Parts: sequence; C-alpha cells; structure tokens
Amino acid sequence: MRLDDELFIAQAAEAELSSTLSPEEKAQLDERLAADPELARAYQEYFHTISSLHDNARRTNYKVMLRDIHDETTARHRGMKRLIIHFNPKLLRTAAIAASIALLTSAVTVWVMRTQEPKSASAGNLQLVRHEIANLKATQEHQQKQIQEIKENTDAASAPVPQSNYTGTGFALSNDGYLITNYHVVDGAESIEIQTRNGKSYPASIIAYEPKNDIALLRVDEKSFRFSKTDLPYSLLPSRAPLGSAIYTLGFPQDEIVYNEGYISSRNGFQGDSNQYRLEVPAGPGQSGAPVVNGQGQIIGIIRSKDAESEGITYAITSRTLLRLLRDVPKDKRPRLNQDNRMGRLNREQQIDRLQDFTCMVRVYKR
Amino acid sequence: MEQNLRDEGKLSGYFWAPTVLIVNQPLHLTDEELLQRIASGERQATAQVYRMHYPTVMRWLQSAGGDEADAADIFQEAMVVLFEKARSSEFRLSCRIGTYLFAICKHLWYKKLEQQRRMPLSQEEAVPDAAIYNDDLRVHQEREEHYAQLDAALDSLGEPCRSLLRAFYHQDKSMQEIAADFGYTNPDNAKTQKYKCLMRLKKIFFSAGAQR
Repeated sequence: MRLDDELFIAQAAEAELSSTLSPEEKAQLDERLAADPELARAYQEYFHTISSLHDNARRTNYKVMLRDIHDETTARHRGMKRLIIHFNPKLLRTAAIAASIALLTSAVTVWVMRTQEPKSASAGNLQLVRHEIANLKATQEHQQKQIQEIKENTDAASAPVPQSNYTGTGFALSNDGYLITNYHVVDGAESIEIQTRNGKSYPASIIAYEPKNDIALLRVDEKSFRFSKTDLPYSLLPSRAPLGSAIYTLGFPQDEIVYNEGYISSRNGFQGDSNQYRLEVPAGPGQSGAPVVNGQGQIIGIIRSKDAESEGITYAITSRTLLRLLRDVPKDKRPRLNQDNRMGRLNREQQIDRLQDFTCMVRVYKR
Repeated sequence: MEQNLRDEGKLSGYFWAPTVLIVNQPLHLTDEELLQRIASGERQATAQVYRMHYPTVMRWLQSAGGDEADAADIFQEAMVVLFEKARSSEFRLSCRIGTYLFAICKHLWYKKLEQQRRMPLSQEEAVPDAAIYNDDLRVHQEREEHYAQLDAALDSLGEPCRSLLRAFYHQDKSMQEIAADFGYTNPDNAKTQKYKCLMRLKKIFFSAGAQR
C-alpha cells in the first residue's frame, strides 16, 4: 500500500472516531473503501487500533480514579490508625530535642525581628510579638503535656479521634441506618460520620432536611449497616405530650453518652413555637439532636437549643412535627418507621440500655 | 435569647427559610441513574457506589481469608467490570448494583485463590448463579488481555512514539502542547509524527495477533 494512502486511511479512521468527518467526506471514504478491499481492511485495523487506544485510556483513567476514591474514603480511618501507633520511648527524647530546637529557632527569629524592627513600628507590634512568644511557650508546654500523655497512654487502646468541626447527637428512625439530627448540626458539612455505641464510625449522608424546624434526615452510606441486631424498640409519639410529662434525654455533650432527666415545662417552645416543647432539663453543646423520651420509652422530641440566659431551659422539636415532615419525603427515601413501642414494660435502666444502641454521636467535617 | 446546642459551633442566627422539605436528590440516585453516570466516568457516582458497597465486600473478604489490600484490588477490578458493562451498548443489569458487585467480587476472589492454589475448589460449587457472571468476567478477561497486548505494542515502539501516543490518547493533550513538549517546530510536524507512530503501532499490534 502506498504511504499516502495509508496516511489517508489512518486520518480517516481517526476523524470517524472523533466524529469530525463531514457527510461528503464520509460518502467519499465509503466509495473508496468499497472499491478497494485492501484499503477497507487497513481502515478496519486503524479503526480498531485507535478505538482500543481510546478505550484503554478511559479505562486506565477510571482505574486511577478508583484508587484515588479508595484513598479518600479510607483516609480518615487510616488517619485514626496512624494515631494509634505506639510511641517508642527512645524516640521521645529525639522528639523533645527537635521540639526544643524548633522553639529556639522561632524565639531567635522573633528576637531578630524585634531588634531589627524600625523604631516607628511602635508598641502595638511589640505587644504582638510578646503575645507570640507567650503562644510559643504555651505551645511547647502543650506539646510536652501531650508527649507526657502519649507516654502514659502507650498501652491504652483509646486513640485520639481526628478533629471534627462540629459534633451533635442523632438517634435511629430505623435499624437499617436512617437517623435524625438537627439541621444546624450538619449544615455545610463536607462529610458526616456517626459514631455508634461500639465506638465504630460510619460515613453518612443527608437524605433530606428542613431548615426552619431544624431537622435533618441522615442515612449511613453502608447498605448493610444495622444499629443493632434487634429491631427498633421505640416508636415516635404521634400526638403532643401533656404538660408536666416526665422526660429524659441521652446525648453526647462529651465523648461519653450522658443521661439527663426533667419534665415538659411548657407545651410551646421558643417564642411560643408550637412545633417545640419547652423543657426543664440540663443540656449543653453536643446534645443537639438528642432524643427526648417519655416514661413509656416513646420518643416525644428532639433537643434543639437552650435558653442563653438561664440554665436548664431547653427547647425540643416535637415528634409530631418530625412525623409531619417525614411524610413529605418520597417513599423510597424515607425510613420504615416502627409503629409499636416495646419499651413500655422495661424499667428506666433497661430502657436506657436499649436506647443506647440507637443513639449516636454525629461528627461533621468541613473542608 | 436562644442558643443552639451544636458543639464548637459559633452562635449564629437561624436561617429562616420557608417550610419546605428539601430532598437531597444528587446524593441518593437510583441504580439506573448511577449506572448512567458511572458509564460516563463520573466521579461522584463512582464514589457513592464505592462508599456504599466496599465495606460489605471488605468484611466478606476478610472472613474468606483475604486482607484489606486484597479487598481493594478485588473491589476495584469489580468496579471496572461494572464500568465496562455500563458502557457497553447491549447493557442490562438484571439485579441491584450491590448484588452484582458482590457476586463479581466473589468470582474474582475464588479465581485468585485457585490461581494461588490456596484452595482446591471449583468455581461452580462455590458461587451461586455462576453462569450469569461468568460471561461478564470472560469478556472482562478478554479485554484485559487485549489491552495488555496494546500496551506491550506501545512499549515496543520505543521513544518518542510511546510517549507521544500516550500524551495524545491517555492524557488528552492537544497537538500544540505535544509539539511544545516533544520539541517539534509546529503542531503539523507533531501530527505527522503521530501518524507515523500510529502506523507502526498498528503494524505491531496486528502482527501480534489482535483480531476482531
């Protein structure tokens, strides 16, 4: 085959594959191919080679993306593992020396900056510098304290948890991973993780939310996830609870789950909002989204906010409002709610024990 | 004053939007939507499927004698099978994505075990519905071999052809960029060179016995 014929055929195959061949050119090409079987065979071969090159590239790029996604999804867990690595006591001295050198260097730099600062740069700057030194000192003390802590914890299994931006509380609506928390907990989240009773973390996504009543419906991403081996023991109270009902809450104002009890002090919440109760129960940061439970073990509300001035006044969104909002979620995206409350016969301690399986900490990460 | 109870959150005014429930559409797509997006190589859909199904496969694999690295390899290969299947014109998925991926992973893992002779076991016994997935895997295997041949042919071209073709087809570089990178005086020269390389590649590829 002549070289310019072959070049023509190769170019034609490339043009055909990238759809840049005009109808006239296409007709011309087909005519030539029909007349010359050798040319037609070469065309097929080029077509096949070039399309294989494209497919292979697409496939390779997809594989690279998969590895990237894998690293991304496992990064946080790996980050936790890295923190568990036991410190070699021999390295502690080296670390301490390195820290001291770093501190010394910073101090010298600050000193040099200070002496070379033109006089006109005034007292304000000096104060700033002094502040930095104080900071450095505090940082070093903090580091020493951390080293000390790590030393003490060398054998402890508890690992420091990577920093999340916000934490709140959530509770299950169904055993297969649907849960409720406050919208203000997950607002603007880059990623969300829930931590269950056994200490494990699972990524979760927002399925639906409603900013005004401050509710977010989440679901754990993992399809096979279950809160517990048994089904949800509680139901949501469909009506409004009476004034004076004794209630209790479980939430995460700290890493450990915390129990509080109190009563409904008003049937309407903040500024008379009938979607809320006013409660007399202690609550602190981290308890947003915590379940409010009555004596029968039914969920009657979700902790949302507290009065900034007086301790003990807490506001909770009513379960009735939650149920109303859930009805608006498309059927295939909403949990199958448990209608029958099986907590009534249990005493308080047993109820709390069951409830703990279905109450989790919600960690929110932002970019 | 009212204060919300999100930990470490700054106190901020509430966002009083109208009472409309906002359903997050993009996050939870149906299997069909997901597959369409996966076929176009979309990252978000791929990541969603990955996050949903990888943990199940990993746990199963760990119970079947594998480790995390095995799980990552196997699952990623299964995702490539899904990707190819979603792209093919005669594509139809008769079951849920999760079921499909899990079955493919099982097949791949048993095959790997058999190759390593860690387990004397026939596939038909180990995996239910083997026939359904065997076809997909056979196609996948043929493709893998086909692309391995293509890569071998590319490698045997030597430089600059190998890098030039990769730059154009894999990295999607323009002729201007390629001319600059490879030191050709203008894009037309680079183009001529590219076709010369392509001719050599085709010759090697087809003499190596790639028919179809």
